[in-house]
Amino acid sequence: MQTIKPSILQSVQLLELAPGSCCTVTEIGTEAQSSRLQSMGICLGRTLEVLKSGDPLIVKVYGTRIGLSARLAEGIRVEACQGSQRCWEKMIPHG
Amino acid sequence: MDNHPDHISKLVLAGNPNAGKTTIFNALTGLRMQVGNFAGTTVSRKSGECQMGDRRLELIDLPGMYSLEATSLEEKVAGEVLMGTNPKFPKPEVVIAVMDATNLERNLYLFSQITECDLPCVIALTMIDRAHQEGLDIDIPTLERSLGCRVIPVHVEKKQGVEELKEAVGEIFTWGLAEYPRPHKPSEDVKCGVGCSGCPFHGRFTWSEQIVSQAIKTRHAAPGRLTDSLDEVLTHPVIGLGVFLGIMMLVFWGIFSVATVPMDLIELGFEHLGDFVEAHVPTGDLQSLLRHGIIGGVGGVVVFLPQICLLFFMLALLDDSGYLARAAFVMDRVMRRVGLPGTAFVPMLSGHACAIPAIMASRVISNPRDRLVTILVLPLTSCSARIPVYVLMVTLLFPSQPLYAALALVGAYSLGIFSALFAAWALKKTILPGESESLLLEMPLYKVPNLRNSLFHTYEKAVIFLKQAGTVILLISIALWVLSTYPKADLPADISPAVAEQLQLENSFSGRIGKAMEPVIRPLGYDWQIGIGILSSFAAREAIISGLSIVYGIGESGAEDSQLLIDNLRNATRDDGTPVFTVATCLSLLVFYVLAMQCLPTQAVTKAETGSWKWAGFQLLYMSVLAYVAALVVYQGLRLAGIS
Repeated sequence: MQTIKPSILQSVQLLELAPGSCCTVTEIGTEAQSSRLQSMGICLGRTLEVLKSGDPLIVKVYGTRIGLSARLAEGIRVEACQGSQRCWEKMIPHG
Repeated sequence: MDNHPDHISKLVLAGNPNAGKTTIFNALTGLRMQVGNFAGTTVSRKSGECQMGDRRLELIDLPGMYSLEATSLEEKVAGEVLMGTNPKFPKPEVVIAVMDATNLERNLYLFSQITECDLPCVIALTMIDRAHQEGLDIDIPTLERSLGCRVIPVHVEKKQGVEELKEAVGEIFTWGLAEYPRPHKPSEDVKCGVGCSGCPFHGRFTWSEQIVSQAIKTRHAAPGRLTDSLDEVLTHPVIGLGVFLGIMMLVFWGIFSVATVPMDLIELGFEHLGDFVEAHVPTGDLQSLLRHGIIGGVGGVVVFLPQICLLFFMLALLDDSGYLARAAFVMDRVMRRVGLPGTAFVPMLSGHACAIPAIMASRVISNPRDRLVTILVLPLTSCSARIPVYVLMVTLLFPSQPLYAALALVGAYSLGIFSALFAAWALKKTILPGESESLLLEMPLYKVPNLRNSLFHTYEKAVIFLKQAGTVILLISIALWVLSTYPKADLPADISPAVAEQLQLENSFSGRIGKAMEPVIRPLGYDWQIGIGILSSFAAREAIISGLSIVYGIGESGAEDSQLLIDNLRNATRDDGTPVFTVATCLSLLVFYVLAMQCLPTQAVTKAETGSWKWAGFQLLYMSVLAYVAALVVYQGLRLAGIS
């Protein structure tokens, strides 16, 4: 029997997500160990919204959009966000 | 030392790319700026003087950066300046941190690192208008308290905050640089806190989020709904590409239509200058040096200034609007096939106006390998100096078949683009291996471009170009003049000026080199006269036309009458009586001009931008070999096919 884990605990590749998905970064693999990527905001614990999937893809992080190639995105694993809050409300403080 | 009256304190502007640094820089300094490079690098350095209170300060605009860890040459230099770790760049005395209010969480990441440089600091908070549109209300005093640093909201267009910013900087000097309180440093926990598992980024971003959440009173929406809708179209793999090509066509239409008016004026100006010299300087070598060497040579290059300015102006507008990042995004997929990043496309396209600004524009490419490959291949694209040569050859080939003439022109342009891409691919497979850097670029929110910033940017580039023209290009012009003027020929007294010019050129160093070259260029279908024409092209390619009109005996002034020149060339014969400009020779020459590196000014810029003559030499070598082989194949192929 396969045990079904609650989906919130399952991490997936950022590349697998459809546009509009909201997620939190859980792992930055070696392919993506670039300090540029991380200092732009794509790093552990940050909330991202996928705006465009494919290669290259566009993700939104904080108040900005970042275009990145699938090759870089391969190493990024994320957890899909749950709940009714809109993605930007999770991503950025809003008083 | 900092109180000495002659000491000019150094002030730096630091911030993320797209945070609005340039606007602040221009507002503080106006046009009193100097452009150049950071010593020993090819990273642009822009500085200007400004008056703050009773102090004169030197303001330096650092390259945009996301962090102090060097991830590009620009960031490396900026980080070294801030940390004072490079002896060539003195540590500044004060930092103005430029922070985008709509993206404060990420901007504060950099700020958390700046606090560790132990420098007095003031924050200029930009994009205030956009923040208001989003209903974003930031409590400035709270932000100041948590950061331990003055925060001045600045809206340059409305002239808000500029004076306050100056006052805040002045205050630092009133306190004394050593005494002025430094911003709070994040605790050691933040730099690598609990649960950060060795990730130094996580802690800083969490710190930054906390600071922002304390300071934000309200926020109605995440920024950029308009941007999201525009991006749907503009980053679409098919529609986006179409829009990009459309916009670039518009840019080129502008360059080739609007710029012709000032170009004609500049040409006229140099002609008048030449006439003035002719009238006031006695006939002889000095007159010839001034008129043909200096005025003719420099004028032949400066005439492209309007195209260059217009190109940079339109690219600056596109960049400032946020569109250029989208262009790089959609082109990335296409360019990566030949081993170049999407950002290489705009420089390659600019090469169709002139290789000099295109090489200068390749600074947008962050990876050094990618930048080098782009610089090496882009002179293969057909610049405007080739147009007169193309037109001449095409007219000789197809005098009364406009359709074929047009096809031949399109063919020449396509050959240029194709060979540039091919050369990039070949370099990747041989001496410059490696994948192009993976695409990673910020796509800023769209906005109405700032006209003032774009004009300033254009002015900067024009100054750089004119500096080149005044130094390197001047020297090249003089050298080429010497080659075509000496040694003097013994001329009989009773010949026409045109024949005198012809005999003199034949006898000169250029003429002798041209004749010595004949065995080498014979297999391409050229005689020694064409050899001289090719040599004269090294100042700028269009100079072959005046070169040919001299060697074919109609004098330099003959070049202005294009019909006369064409008739003369068509009737030109070899010693055995066969015509010189056959179909095979014309096509071979056309291909040669598409591919050959014949522009010493470009070579000088390649040296300046790559930092060594080695790459300029390589560029000359590989393009010459490519041109020679291609022209050989064309000429011999056509002869074998019975077309001559």
